[in-house]
Amino acid sequence: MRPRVRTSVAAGAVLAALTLPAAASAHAYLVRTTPAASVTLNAPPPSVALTFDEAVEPRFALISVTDVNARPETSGPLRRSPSNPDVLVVPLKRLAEGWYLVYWRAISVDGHPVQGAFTFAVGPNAGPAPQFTVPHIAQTATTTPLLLARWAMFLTVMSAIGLFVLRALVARPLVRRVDETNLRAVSVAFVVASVLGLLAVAVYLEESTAVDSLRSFWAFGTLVPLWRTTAFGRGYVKLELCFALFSVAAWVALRVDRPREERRTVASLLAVTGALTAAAAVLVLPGAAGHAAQTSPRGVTVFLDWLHLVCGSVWLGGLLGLLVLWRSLPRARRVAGLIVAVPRFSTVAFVTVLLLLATGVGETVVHLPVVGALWQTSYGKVILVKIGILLATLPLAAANLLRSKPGLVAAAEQTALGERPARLLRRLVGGEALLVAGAVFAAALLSSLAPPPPAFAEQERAQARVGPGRVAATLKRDGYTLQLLVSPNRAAAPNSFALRLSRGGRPVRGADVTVQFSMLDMEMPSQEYRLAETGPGVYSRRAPALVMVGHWGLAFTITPRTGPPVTALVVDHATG
Amino acid sequence: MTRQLLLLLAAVAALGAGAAAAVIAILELQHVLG
Repeated sequence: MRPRVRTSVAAGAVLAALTLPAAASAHAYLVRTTPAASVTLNAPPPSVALTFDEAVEPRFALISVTDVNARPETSGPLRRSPSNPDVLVVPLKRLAEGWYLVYWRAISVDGHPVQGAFTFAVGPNAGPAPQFTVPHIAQTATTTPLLLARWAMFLTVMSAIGLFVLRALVARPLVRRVDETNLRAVSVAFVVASVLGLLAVAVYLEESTAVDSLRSFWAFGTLVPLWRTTAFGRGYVKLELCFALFSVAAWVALRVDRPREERRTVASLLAVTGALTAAAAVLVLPGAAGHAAQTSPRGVTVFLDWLHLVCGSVWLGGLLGLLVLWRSLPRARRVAGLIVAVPRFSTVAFVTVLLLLATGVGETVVHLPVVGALWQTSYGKVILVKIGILLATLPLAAANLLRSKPGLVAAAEQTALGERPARLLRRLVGGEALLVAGAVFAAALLSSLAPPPPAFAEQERAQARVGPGRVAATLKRDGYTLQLLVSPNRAAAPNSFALRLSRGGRPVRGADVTVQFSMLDMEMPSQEYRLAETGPGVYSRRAPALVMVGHWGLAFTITPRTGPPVTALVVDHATG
Repeated sequence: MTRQLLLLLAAVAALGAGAAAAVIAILELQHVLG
């Protein structure tokens, strides 16, 4: 590659880490539960009903109701309410007095599982609330096989498209300029990658449907009809179809091409146009089926995601294609061939890396509410890991810049001199391709995580961070002293929230105190409660507010009888 | 001549495949963005 290109590739690697399909959450979220969380009922309820903000598919949902000994208490399958498609209902056995844990899980429109848990009691003598073992409530339900399938899908589909671009557009003049050479090996690599890609998309669809519907991967008879049940599944079925169309069009384009002729025939031009159009269509679909289409402004995020995938594909497939070329060219023609192909690829790589940077930065800005989210959330940490992987390309880029490139240029005059730099180039390009594959893995992981919701930005202006465990914290705001007590500060358990309010050592009586609970780790509706004055300057309430494990923003608004209102924000970490 | 005609037909089919894929993607975009 040209020095400036290699430099740019290397420098770009850092920011390119901020690339590849990113995500944001517009999940199906729970709006209401019947019975309400943490309520004590006088009579056993006949069923548990969960109302979501959008229709959810019962075949991909789960509601478990268990007693304190983890015995299931449901009496029939989960179904959608006939009167409201947003409501899922599960019938219950006749419940005895006591406390019950409800754990739910559903698939949102962008294919991500969403889940939560809450408790309720059947009285009148339910007794004190026990500590349930809350199932692991993470932001993602991605499994290792699902992640590997996603990675394999991205790798093969992107490689196939990149290999086609290299073969049809970049390396084509090589055959004309260097005698006794051909590009058959690159064409074969393209065919292998496209066959693997077709398989990988199908495997990913099957595995993702299996995970979402909690069935075995091998239950093909049950799962294949379910592929198109969710919008996410339908998107990937379309991706498979478009990728098949691309594979056929690209294969035809390679068959009709006569690279020894400088000018393309009409047939070649038509076929290449068809294949490139299909490739562009293929790369639209992951964004349209995923987070990009759920993040505002949608047109911009879908476009960024598309451009990003296009650039990633050209880069990855191009590197693989160079390796294939290196291996397949006759030994005596290798250096001459590389002298033709490498500078042309460098030009393309230069543009794609610049665009990767731009789209990656754009997507990160859209998806991360604050810079701090980079190191405070799993989503941000994966971006940092991706940066780390791509930083590792720097030494390779430097070696290429200082050793192999000048060597190849010198060999233009005397081919024998080019053997060593060509070997070095192969090792370095191989290393670079491995690292890009690693970055694609990070991207696959990244797009399986929900990015931090806008509420996460609230952490930046928090006056205190508390939890996990029982909370006893004091903070000062505008001359007031606020003592906050949260007990036991556990998710899916009734918690008591108390605020002791004083000014100049004297309790502040008669104030109006409200607290708003916002989930900071994922998008959920916030809840607001008024605290009642239960003692001089002491405002408290038991509330089922912390319905999930994670970080909660507790925004207090205190309106004293005289004087302006006071606000305070506390970030609380609740555990299960 | 026949061979060239076949190649041209294959190329038109490839162009058709590209157009079909583009229509699928455009309809999906319309659905998502609409």
